Amino acid sequence: MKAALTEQPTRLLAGFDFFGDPFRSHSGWSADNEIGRLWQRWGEYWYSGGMAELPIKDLTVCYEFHIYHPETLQTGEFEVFIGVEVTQLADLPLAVVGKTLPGGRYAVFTLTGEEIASDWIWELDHAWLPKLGVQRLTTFSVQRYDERFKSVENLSESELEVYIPLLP
Amino acid sequence: MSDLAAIVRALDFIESHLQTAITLGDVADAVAYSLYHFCRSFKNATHYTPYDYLMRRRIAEAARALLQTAAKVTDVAFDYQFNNLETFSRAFRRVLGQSPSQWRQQGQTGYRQLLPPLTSAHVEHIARCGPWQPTELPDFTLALVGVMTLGDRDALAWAWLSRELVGVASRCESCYAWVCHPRGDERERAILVAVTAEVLPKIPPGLVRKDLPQATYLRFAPVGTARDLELLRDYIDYVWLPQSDYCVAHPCYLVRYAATPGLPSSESDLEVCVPVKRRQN
Repeated sequence: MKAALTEQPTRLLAGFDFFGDPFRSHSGWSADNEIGRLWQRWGEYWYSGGMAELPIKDLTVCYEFHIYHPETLQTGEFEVFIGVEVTQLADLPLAVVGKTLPGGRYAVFTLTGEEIASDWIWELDHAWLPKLGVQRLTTFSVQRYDERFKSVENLSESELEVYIPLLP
Repeated sequence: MSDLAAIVRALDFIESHLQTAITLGDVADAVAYSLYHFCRSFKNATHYTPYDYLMRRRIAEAARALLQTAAKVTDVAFDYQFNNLETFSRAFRRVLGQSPSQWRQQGQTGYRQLLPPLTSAHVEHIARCGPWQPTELPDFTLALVGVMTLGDRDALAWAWLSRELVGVASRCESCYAWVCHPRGDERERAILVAVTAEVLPKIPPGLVRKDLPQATYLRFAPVGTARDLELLRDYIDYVWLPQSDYCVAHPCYLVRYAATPGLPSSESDLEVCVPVKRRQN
C-alpha cells in the first residue's frame, strides 16, 4: 500500500445511488451484492447511450463513494454512489443523480492486488493515518477506479486508489 | 485472527450484550475490523447481516422472557434495548408474526421459532458446506415403508429395517428418515426409518406405510456428514427460512441417505427435504 497527502478540487459527479445494507443479499466482493448490482446497472446505462447523454469531463475515471449517515453505526446501512465527473449538474437525465465531491485535503492510498479485498479501512485508521499524523473525516470515503483496475474477478492484477477526506 | 475466528468472537460479543446499548461499530471494534469489512464478513460467515442477527437474537430472548417472567411488555422492550413499545412490537411482529401480548397469551414457543445463538460449529459448517441453493419440489409426496419409533431409538429401528431388507437390498438405492415433532416442539420426536414403497410392495408385518403430506418441499444438499445434520437443520430453520418467502408447513423433515441401511453410507450424499408453505404477510 502506498500513501500520500494531496489537495483535491471540488468535483461534480453524475451517477447512480443506493442506500441500505449492500451485503443483505450477497456478501464479499460479489457482483451480486448491491454494490455489484449498482455497477451493473451503471454499466448497462453507460453502454446503452448514457455516455452520450452526460456532459462528461473525464470518461477514463469512475468514482465510488461510501457516505455514512447517523444510523450507519446502528444498522450497517450506508449510501453508495458511483459515477463519473461531469462539467455541470443541471439538466441531468432522469435516471442519473448528481453529487458534489467536496474539495480539500485528502490522504490517498494505492491498493494493489489482494489488498483491495482486505480490511484496508482498519489498516488506514489504525496504522496509516496515525503514521501520517492526520485525522480523517468519518462521514465518507472515495474509491477512484481507472484503467489500472481490471475487474472484481481479477483483483490480483488490479490497482485502486482510495481517497480519505481529512480534518483541516 | 482469521475471519471465522473474528466472527465467532463477534457472535460472543453480541450474545453478552443483548441487554446493553451497543452499535455495530462497537462489535466491529471488538474484533478489530472496520465497520464495512465487518458487515461484509459477518454476512459471508453467518448469512445474516449483523443488524438483522442482533435484532433477531434480542427478539428471541425477549420472547422467552415474556413467557418465563411476569415482567411488563414495556420493561422487556427496554431490557432488550428497544427504545419504545412501538418499535419493539413492530420488530416482534416481523420476526414472530404476532404482537408481544398475543405471544404471551399463546403461552408457548412454536416449532423452532426462536433463533438460538449461532456458534463456531454453525459458522464452520456454513463455511465448509454452504451456501445452499435449495431445489423446490412442488406437490411432492413419497410413500414410505419402514419402522416407526419414538424418541432416540434410531439405531434400533435401522437395524430392524436392515433385517427386513435382506434379499431386497439390491433394489434399494436410498433410504429415508422421516422425523416428526408431533407436538410442534422438540420434546417429542417420532422417526420413521424407511425405504420407498416400491422397494417393499408387500408390507412385512413388522413395518408400516406412511405417505408424506403432499406439499412443496425444499431440498437442501450437501449436508456435509451425518454429524452435520443438526447444523444444517439449524441453518434451514433459523437462517434460511426466516429470510425467505417460506415458512415450515409441518414440524417434520425428511433425510435421504444414499445407501441401504446396514451398509456403509456415503455421507456426502445426504440430503434434507423440508415441507414448506408461502409465508402470509
